[in-house]
Amino acid sequence: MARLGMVIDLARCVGCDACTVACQTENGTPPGIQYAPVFRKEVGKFPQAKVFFLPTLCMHCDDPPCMKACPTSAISKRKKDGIVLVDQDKCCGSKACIAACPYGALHFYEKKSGMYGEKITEPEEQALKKFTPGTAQKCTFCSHRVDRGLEPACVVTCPTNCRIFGDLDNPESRVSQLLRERNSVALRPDAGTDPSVRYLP
Amino acid sequence: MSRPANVFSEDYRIGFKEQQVWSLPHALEFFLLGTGAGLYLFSTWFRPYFTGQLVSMLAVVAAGMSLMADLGRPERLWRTFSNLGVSWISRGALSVFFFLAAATVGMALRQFHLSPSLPRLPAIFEAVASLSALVAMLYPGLVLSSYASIPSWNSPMVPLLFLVYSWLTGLAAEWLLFFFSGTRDELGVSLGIGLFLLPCALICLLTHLGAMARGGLAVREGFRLLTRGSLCGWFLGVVLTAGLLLPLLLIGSAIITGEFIQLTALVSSILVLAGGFFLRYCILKAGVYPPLF
Repeated sequence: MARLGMVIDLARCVGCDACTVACQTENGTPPGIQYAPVFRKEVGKFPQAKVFFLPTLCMHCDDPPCMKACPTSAISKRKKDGIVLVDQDKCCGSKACIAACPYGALHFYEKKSGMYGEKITEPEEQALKKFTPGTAQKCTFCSHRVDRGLEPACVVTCPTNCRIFGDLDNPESRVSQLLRERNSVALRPDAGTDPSVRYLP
Repeated sequence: MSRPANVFSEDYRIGFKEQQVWSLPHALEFFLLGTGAGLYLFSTWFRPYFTGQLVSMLAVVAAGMSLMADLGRPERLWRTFSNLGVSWISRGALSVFFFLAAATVGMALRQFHLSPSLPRLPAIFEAVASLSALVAMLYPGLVLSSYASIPSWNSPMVPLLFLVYSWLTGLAAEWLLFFFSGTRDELGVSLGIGLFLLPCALICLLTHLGAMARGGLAVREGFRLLTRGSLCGWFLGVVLTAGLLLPLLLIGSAIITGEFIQLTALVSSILVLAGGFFLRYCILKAGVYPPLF
């Protein structure tokens, strides 16, 4: 049994949004749904102004509040690697998981639409086949890639290598080493979710 | 090379986020459910009253319809019973199902005298329906309080507030029914119960507000929304003033003077029901996610 997780080195992030775009391309997410947005905030004033970037995604929590909130048992945690997934065939679209997630990582896919509104292009048609309208959607840690021994798209695309992916339960993994060597933080520790994504300041 | 800035300082907090998922349809569902369940208890145990029971069931059915209208896949409603171990929505859905089933059978048995050999059978079904109604009154608050993501909901006062308001709006619905079909004495007794429940609701509400005022950043932001922000008019105007203080004053005066009982019941009923609906709406809309760090 593994616990897959990610360490994000914030000092390396340049806010290029490559992770966001890579995720959208890999997963073909519907318009308006981003599994891996990068938040940004300006701090200070010219000439001391700085921009801070916060890449986010589903935290694949050890104790996922979305799973507890879901009335239909549509959200589950894979035993083999701890990835939290939504079963679109079970989801009734109650949005309880969306409200319960402290990270805003779940999204509601209301109806089939393309980048140009109702007119859906052929590539979009293909991509949208994976999504059931009226259900919740979330980052899967690219489980389809992980199952083939690959890393998530956001990780392999990041030009500054700020995302490091691996097994948090394996003390020899790079993520475990980084967590041992450097101070890390979890987002919203007050929510008690024990997220599998950690940040290095 | 200089050290990177401390990105976890106050300056780097990424702001509050108001929850947008649950809004009017959920407020309406919680209101109708609480009111229907409260009315059922009053019209079953305080004064057996067929019209009250019927209206209460219609209100609970309407609550279910409101919820269904908001579901992304309403055809999968039956699946909501499948996570009873941890999900309060599942437990709530089950309680509503039990309530409707038991209340229907109990009402049919009593109304049509279907069990002459078992005279206690209707009461057994009514007891089951009443227990389910109690769970249905509590469950919206328990759903909200189970969400650690939104600290202003994550409080033991929220289920208590929803419970007290369910009793109160259930009673207000009874005033409305009594206005049309009850006697002056029945109205007087019912309004007297209001004189007890209205201060209880006021105390719960003020306690919750007090706790919010002393809470963490996001809770205080919710408090600001309720008392000075976008919800201020609904909350202070409709929930607190029109929904609690004014009915308290009206009912108190009517009971002391013994005059305008029927008019007081009608006006107070409308005010309390409006206050009860907007309480649910304001609690939902004042749910604020704290900054991610």
